[in-house]
Amino acid sequence: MSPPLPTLSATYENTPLIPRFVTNEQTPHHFSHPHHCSFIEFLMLHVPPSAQLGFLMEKKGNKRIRANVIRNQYASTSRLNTCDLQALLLLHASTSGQPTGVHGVISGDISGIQSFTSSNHASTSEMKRMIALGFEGSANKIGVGVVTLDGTILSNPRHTYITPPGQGFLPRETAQHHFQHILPLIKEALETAQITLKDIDCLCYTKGPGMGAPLQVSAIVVRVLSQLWKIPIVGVNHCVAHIEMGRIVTGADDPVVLYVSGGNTQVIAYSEGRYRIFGETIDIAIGNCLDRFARVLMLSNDPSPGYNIEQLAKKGEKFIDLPYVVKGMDVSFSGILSYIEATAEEKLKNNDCTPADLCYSLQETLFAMLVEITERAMAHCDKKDVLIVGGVGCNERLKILQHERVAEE
Amino acid sequence: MDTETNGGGSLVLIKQGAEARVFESTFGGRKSIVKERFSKKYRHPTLDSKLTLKRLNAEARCMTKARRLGVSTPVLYAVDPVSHTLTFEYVEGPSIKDIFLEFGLKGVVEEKMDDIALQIGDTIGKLHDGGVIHGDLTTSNMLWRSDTNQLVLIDFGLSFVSTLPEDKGVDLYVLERALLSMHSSCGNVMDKILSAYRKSTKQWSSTFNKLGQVRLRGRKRTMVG
Repeated sequence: MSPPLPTLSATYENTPLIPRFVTNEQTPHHFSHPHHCSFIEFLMLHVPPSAQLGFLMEKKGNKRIRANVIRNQYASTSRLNTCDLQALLLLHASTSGQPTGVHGVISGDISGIQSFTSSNHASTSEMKRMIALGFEGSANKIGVGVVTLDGTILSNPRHTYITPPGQGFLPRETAQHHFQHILPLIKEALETAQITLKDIDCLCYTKGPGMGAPLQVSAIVVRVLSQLWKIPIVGVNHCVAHIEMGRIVTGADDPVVLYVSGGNTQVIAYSEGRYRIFGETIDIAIGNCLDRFARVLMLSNDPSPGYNIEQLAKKGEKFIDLPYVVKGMDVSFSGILSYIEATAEEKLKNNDCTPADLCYSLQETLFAMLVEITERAMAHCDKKDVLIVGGVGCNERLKILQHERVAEE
Repeated sequence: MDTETNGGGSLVLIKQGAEARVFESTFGGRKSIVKERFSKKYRHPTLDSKLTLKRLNAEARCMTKARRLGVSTPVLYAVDPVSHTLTFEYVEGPSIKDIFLEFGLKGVVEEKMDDIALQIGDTIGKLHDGGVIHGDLTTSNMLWRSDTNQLVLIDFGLSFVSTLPEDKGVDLYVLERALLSMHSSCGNVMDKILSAYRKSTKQWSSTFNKLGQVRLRGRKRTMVG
């Protein structure tokens, strides 16, 4: 018996631009020339049959395209989220070779990825290792990593969006940057890791939290690859990923985690079956505070504002008294930032201090606060190890302070 | 440490905290606690001496002020700003943290839980109405005096005087978070505490509104753009 053919029902009478397409449970796989099938037929080919039964496409003007997925014949419609829709459109473009307009922001040739992996027949590994290909683009850095189940990192190329001094990164521009770099990064990751498509068992990506627009980039790309390669997707929580990565690299079993980055400042420990936040910032994140101060001093954003503050702070000699704000196990940075922004202007004008002194004092004060709340959390939940994760964790001064603190015990 | 400064009793270390050592001793024939704030080498010396002295003074002042407001705290016997020590009454009894952890393991004793929550709420209410913000309300900083079944508040190192709803709200928020992270298996203790607090305080609505705002800060703030 031949598979049931999809039936194309009539278009809406008064809205002829909207074609409607309904099919049976099984998705047809017998299209001999998928490049020639219509867009909607193409979508049907690539969407799991269990979940979606049909599509309702709607075109408004030239730009806005909305797709509704019709489940259970006509019963209920649920709208595709933006990532799913863009992924489907990109898929269409990749196989038909035609630009579709909506995702023109993705540059690079996705079919290259397809051909690259399928032309490589060197997969000879006898012992099957579980390998994941991971995507991270929650802020101004886009990265693709290949990692095995035991935590060995096979490759991890990344690219950072660097803005001119005095400016921060904005969501839209950051997303555009990610779109430009993600495809070359994927190729580079696979090449460096010396693996082929066949070796990859799952695709992981940062699901959130983070900046919306940059997050969408990896969300879209991962969906496309999942459909092209028929590999399952695992969405990963940003914060949990930070912690688990730190645990795997250091071997720390049950530490108190100080998670410090541009968007987060938290003291986390595992308690009663889940990660719990013991202390955190009640306003802005530490990285945000440092970055914004770097903008005041017009420090370079290359490689990162925090790094440049750190280098400058090494030359600081004079300690300037700043507010010190610890509330129980929580900290607050916005007041300190306002204070130092105002002080910097005044003191630099009167030659009371150098930018290096300001960086030094800011770092010493902020990090002392962080170390203190970590210490409180450790005392509160009787844990002996501390793990620092996140971008600000790169700061050597923070590591030294934390070491000194542990050595004191 | 110089033993002459605290009335001559021998010192036995009972707890090494995050920033202070706590010793058991005797003061004028009574069993007492000596709390020594030590300097933290990781801090810049200027910052460290400022903080140590500030917290020593805050603790001594706010502890006595709290007692005046009818809040049960240990009796302060002596303050020494040179050796950074405080000497105060020894309170017999477990910490609320230990009691709640036991509830978590063996099941909650509702009657005792209600009593504790009531006293916590009432105590904080009195404190806040008198303009004292504790600053570090966690269950580790609350003791349960065994003989009288009375809540005793300790560790006023982060305390300060303020009548702003903002500070009161943050104070309650710190407690809420501490309960959530450590004692989530004990059920919703915070609601009980807040209802007791409501009865005890005269500025309930402004504080409660502020608490709502504080809850929405930080991670919970809306990210637009």
